[in-house]
Amino acid sequence: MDQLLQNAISALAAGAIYSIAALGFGVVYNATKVMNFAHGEFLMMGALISAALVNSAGVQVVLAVAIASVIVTLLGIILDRYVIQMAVRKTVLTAVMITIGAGIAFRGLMVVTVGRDMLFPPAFEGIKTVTVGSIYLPSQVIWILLLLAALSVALAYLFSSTRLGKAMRAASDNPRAAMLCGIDIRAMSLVAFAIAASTGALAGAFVAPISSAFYESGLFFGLKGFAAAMLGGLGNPIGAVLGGMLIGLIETGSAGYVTSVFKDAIALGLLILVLIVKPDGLLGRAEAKRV
Amino acid sequence: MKLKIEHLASKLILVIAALVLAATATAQDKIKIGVLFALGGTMAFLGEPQQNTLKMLVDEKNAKGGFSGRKIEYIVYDTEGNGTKAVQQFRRLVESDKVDVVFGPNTTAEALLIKPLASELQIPMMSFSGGEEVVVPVNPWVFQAVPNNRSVINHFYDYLQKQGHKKVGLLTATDAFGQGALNTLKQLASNYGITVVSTEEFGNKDTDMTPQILKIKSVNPDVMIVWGLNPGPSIIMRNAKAVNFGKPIFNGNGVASPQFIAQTGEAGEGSWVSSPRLLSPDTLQSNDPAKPLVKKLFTDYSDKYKKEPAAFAAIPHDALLVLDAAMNKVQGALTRKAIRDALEGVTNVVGANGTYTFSAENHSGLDSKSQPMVMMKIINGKFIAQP
Amino acid sequence: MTTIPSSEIKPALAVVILVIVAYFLAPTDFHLTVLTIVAIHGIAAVALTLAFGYAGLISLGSSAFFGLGAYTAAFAVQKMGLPSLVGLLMGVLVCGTTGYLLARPLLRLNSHYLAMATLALGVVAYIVYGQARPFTGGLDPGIFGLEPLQIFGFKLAGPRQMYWVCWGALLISCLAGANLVHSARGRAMRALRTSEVATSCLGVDTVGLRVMVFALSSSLIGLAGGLYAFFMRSFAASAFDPGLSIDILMMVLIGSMSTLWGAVVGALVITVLPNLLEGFEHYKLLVFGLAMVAVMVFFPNGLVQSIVDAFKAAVLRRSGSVATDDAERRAAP
Repeated sequence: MDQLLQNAISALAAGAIYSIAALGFGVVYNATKVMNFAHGEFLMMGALISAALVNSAGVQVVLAVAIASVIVTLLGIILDRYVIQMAVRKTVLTAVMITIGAGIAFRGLMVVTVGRDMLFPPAFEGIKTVTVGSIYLPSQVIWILLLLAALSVALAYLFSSTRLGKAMRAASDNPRAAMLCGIDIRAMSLVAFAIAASTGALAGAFVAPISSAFYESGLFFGLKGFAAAMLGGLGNPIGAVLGGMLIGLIETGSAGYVTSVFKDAIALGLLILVLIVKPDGLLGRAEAKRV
Repeated sequence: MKLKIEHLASKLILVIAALVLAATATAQDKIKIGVLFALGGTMAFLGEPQQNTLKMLVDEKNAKGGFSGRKIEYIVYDTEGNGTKAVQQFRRLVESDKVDVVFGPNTTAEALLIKPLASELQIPMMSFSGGEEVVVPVNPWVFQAVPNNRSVINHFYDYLQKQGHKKVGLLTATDAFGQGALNTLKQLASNYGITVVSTEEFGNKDTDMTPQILKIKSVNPDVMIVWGLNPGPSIIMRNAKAVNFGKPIFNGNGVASPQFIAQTGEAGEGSWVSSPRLLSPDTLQSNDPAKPLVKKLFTDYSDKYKKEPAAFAAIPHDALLVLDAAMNKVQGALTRKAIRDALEGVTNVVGANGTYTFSAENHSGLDSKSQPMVMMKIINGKFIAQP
Repeated sequence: MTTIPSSEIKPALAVVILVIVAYFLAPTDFHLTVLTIVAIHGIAAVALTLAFGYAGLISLGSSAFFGLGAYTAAFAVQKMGLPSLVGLLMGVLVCGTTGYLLARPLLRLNSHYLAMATLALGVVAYIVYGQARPFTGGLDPGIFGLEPLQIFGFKLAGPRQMYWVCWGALLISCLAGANLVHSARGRAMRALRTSEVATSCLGVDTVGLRVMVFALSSSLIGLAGGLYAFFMRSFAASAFDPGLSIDILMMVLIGSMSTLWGAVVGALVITVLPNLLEGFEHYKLLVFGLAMVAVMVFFPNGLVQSIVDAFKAAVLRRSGSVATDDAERRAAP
């Protein structure tokens, strides 16, 4: 029983990160109908930049995370404004390829600036590890769960109760009508990317003390984030959190009870299955399949 | 008129003689080493300290006149652990750059790829990777300058047996490093009266190994053996502490670096690490013949690069020593074959990782008798070599 | 059956001549080795040009099929004792079949999902290749000591011989591809890329067409993988990481989306570049990423193709010939 609970806690932590990734991914998709294949790199860069600042420059953790988030957000905005929106031919194909290329460029940027070392920032201070009997909840896991909660609440508030949020929803539902109402579509797109980049960077920075920061982690962050988003229903925020938790559970379940070797393959296999069988995901948001 | 012609002729002869002398002199003047390192990707942590050590030692040696009067030149190519690249770069070193000997590669998969090429192209190669298959079966042109998996694990199990441990749980990485070790770990256990009661694995990008640790704990081994590269084992140590694993944990040589202590903190206290001597030269036994060498390497590296060397840095150090010993035996022209023959005859070279003796049947130089590894225990945040 | 127009014969001849000349000009076996690897990559790039450039199918998982072809060939020879040519053929068939089976469900997806699914596929394949140790030898030691390719009793080992085999295979692949492209099916493929709805309105079985292209593309990549296995004779899963898929994709982007020969140029550039630029490894990712973005933003037809098109346009403007214009328009896709 203890083993089960302890494994569940591991699942929670992983799941929370995937959920945040899925949330950001969904925000961009909703706003622009673009699937940003570089999303995982936002997490990776948040982790790597904050870890480098803390480890090599001795910057205080809160400041390091903040700086990392700002830098990554800027990069996200550049990606949208100066790259995606500049494409000569704006088809789905080109958008996908551009974001893939951007992801690679981000990875390359990190290699050239921060380097190829695996960095291990220290755990955040301020919360102590909680132990109940023989089950323990590591402090960093608590931080991650708090982040998820905070971001979920913030995003929910943004989209339901603020003008900006409503404008973004309008822009994604019907761009032409939104434009007629005076909403700047391109600005909404920028805001979406900014949200995705900043939430991603924060998630990366928060998980780095547990899993280390490495320039190649973006691919896995991204794929698992996509898996979570697709599983829960693309663009559906509740689905994102649900999907994230499910992926976390499946991963940890595989590791603990079936085979630890293939756990990533299982999670990704699930993604492929979902795409083929039920691309709407569990909670669904109607998405046009091939005619 | 006659005088003029004679004058001219003698001048010409002098010039030709000088040129010939210069040509032979330059040919004898240097030795070119081709180096294949994986400097990017997950094995990058190996490549960089090795490259630093190489540079430092070559500069030092050249300042003293090189190998028996021959200056050392070297060219480094980064394979990034990619076999396709490694093949191209190897051929480039041998055929285009015309090196005399090759150091590297430092991963087993690449070394196996290059092994047949070395004999096809007839160039001596000193591999820096630890897989046993590199020198078994013996390829006349391929040498291994590294403690290979088998000798490391033999020493490892020997220590465990002496401590009276009988049942072990294995937690190894799924990457090349861990896979290579797992095969040998399973194979050799019975030679030391040890039974493997549990085999679990972890991916080197995984962030939480608690499930696997709990599984191992449930079958009650005497010790847990962890074999992988950072960050995995650091995470494992911390997970294990948090769930009160309770049994001694022994780590393989993949974590033989100061970062391990930094990353595990309190969780690493009391754990064991199989390591090359370079990790903690001051705590070595006083009768260890390698101790002075190791201390010097440690101090030199730290002074020059302002940080402690990773334990793998000893590898190029020893490779150069072995090559030097071989060069001393070469008489006449320095050909690749001459170097190869000389390498095979190297005996009793004391290096930082042990004492090397090669022969036609043994291209690995080190065996368990030459004690390549030392068991370190983390006590009060430091590595202390155990007798 | 052959519908290869003269526009394809000319580049084919050019390539043949260059290949022959290069062999005799190459200073060392190192250069031949690099060129042989160019040819192997080229076959995969041609395959991807067919799928992606012509039929608009984003596949980010080419590495999966490349590896499948290699492992199948090795398995056939080492574990089943079959002759090497049979092994090579098996690699092609297994990949083609797998491509076909995967295609039906995958190709109902729109481009985004297809990209994601194939990306995930490439990663899953990489994990499986690295961990299915009984079949693949895992990451360490992998497959080694593979016997060389044997054709009619001749052992073909080493770059001097495999050079011809691989470039020959590439030429045949290009011509076969050209045959397809210029046939009725080929035109339907190109129509497909522009608008699927319109094409199906014309009565074309769009799904069937895409499946066929995907299967063909996969089998060609399997051929490349098999040749890789017989050339390297030793490999581990690290050779088939997701980065390989990106490399092959770059070859298509550098080359052309509308001409198969562009893939050969792309393969040349991407394979030779790391050898030319020392210290390139450090900047490689950044350069590749920026190049990919730049090409897709400014030259979505492929870099070389865009250069060629611009060149042709400049020439035409100078000559001002109407007749040439017409022929140009008919020949252009």
